[in-house]
Amino acid sequence: MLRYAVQRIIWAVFLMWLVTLFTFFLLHLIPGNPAIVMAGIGAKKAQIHALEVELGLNKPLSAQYWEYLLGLVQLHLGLSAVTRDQVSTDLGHYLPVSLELIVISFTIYVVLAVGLGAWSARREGRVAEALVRVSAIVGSGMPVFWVGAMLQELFFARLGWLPQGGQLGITASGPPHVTGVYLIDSAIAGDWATFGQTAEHLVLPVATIVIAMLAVGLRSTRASVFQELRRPYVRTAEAKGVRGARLMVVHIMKNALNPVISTLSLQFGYLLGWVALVETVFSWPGIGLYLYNSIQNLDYAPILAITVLVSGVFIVVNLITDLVYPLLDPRLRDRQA
Amino acid sequence: MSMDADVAVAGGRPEVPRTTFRRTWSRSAHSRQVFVVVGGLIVAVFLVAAIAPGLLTSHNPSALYSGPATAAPGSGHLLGTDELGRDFFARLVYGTRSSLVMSVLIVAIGAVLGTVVGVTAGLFGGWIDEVLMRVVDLFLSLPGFVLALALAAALGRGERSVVIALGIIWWPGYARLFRGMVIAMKHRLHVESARALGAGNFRIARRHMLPFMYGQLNARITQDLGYALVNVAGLSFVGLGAQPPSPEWGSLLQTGLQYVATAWWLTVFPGLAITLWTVGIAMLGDGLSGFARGERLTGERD
Repeated sequence: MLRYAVQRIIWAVFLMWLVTLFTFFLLHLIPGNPAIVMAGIGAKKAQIHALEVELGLNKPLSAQYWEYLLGLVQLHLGLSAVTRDQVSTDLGHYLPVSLELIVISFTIYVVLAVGLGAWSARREGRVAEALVRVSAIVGSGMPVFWVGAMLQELFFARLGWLPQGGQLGITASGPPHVTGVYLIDSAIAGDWATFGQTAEHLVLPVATIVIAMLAVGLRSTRASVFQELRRPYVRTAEAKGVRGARLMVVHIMKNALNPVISTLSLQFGYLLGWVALVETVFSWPGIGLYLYNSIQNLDYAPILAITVLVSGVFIVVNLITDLVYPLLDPRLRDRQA
Repeated sequence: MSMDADVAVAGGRPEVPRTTFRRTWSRSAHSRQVFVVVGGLIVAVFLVAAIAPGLLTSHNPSALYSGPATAAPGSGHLLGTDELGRDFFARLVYGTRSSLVMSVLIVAIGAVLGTVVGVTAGLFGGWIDEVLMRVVDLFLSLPGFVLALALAAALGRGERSVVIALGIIWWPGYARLFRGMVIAMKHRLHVESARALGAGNFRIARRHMLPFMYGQLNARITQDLGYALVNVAGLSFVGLGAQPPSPEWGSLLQTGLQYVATAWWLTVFPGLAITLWTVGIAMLGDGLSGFARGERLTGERD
């Protein structure tokens, strides 16, 4: 187990290193040189030159990469040409906002996909099967940003039930900063009006993400539970009088979850990419919208910093899944020890 | 699916091979044919739009009409006009080519790279297999869309960047698929016979393995054509792909989004086009993969 854990950690570090190599490569692929990029649009010659010296662009590539890596570790991510801020400051500001959206929607997605998948697996028959198949095809065929636009069309433009986008009403100001997550901060401050407003603004983006991903996770859970249902141990458990939720959760889920978890982690990767699109549709002021704005201006320092950050989040989440999963399933522990 | 229920009730020994065969067989009767026909029709319409858009609309996609901008659907313009008063149906139809060509190129890059890597890994085995599959793992352990986005941004806006960026992240799935198929086929009688007769790896792959793989490959490729288009639209949506005034669907959607409250057709229809194409081609692929399975069943008798 320890050997396995060390292996996974080394793999994760290796992946992270490759990502930095990739972004370093991109930095040199960009037309113009990194100093121009980092100094931002409209920088003066002298500023660029100073940055060139600071960045050591006259040094060999390996030395430059080493400095780039050191910079990343120390969170020197360059200047944003748009916000005129250190990218790291911007990211610190936008990260909690995005996490709020990602964590809430992914949690709801997992609960719904696993719950509905398990529920539907017990309902056999052509209709259920066809319904799941078709919704999986349609669900993965709809572009996520279009789902968002349609929800906006319906619940904002037609019905007027929910706001079009943003994090709060235009006139409202955020709760006192503690974590940067509005739901938590407003709860701490006891400001339930702001809490309600944030929740209201979260409904559509969260629904967008859940709708776009649900069918795939549901189908995977359903298929996996369906297979388990035929196994002898299920019959044994049933014969002993175990039924309903207990049978599903304690007996079946334990065995069925393995393929589901790999689907979910794959989906999490998609989600990280899609967040940029969803945040753009709903003007949710997180990292995704920041990325979108940076792309509009081809503002490379934030684009590359976000690439490193998002890849890092993905790698760490996968690492945690890899490490936690054998704890839940002893069979894997034996296999990988 | 009643036979699955039977097996579940009978418990004890699930007769897997027989059930799989029966399920494949019973599906083929109805849903598969329906899938192929409906999917095929949808795909055909889109292909016409891509190859000869003039057949579907007499309007010019970039002509500015003198009526009010953003006129609602109907009234001389089937899907209304856009924010500049251009016929929206014509724009959608003329946008098909750009959207489709990009996804075809991406899948082609992915399929070729993936096939070469997968077949090599499967055939040679040993350390070559180990190294190549590690590279595949590596690609699958990173958030592909985000990396493609960064790469496309670094390459500069435009359709070429999008194709390169997405093509590069697209191949690992094919590599896995092919490696699996090659390994499964390695010890088939006819392959071993060929080897006994002195055929080399290349000849075995080309003459004795690939013919059995076309079915699955076709199914996979058709499905991927849909997903590739969704990704292309995503990159265009953030402003990296086709540039205005090109009527590529992703960029149409991006423009349309500014008019959600006033001109619903500008967002509804481009998304509908993308979804229709993806669903149509997925249905076609799903139906074809059934046939591919049948083909494999006959293949196994040799």
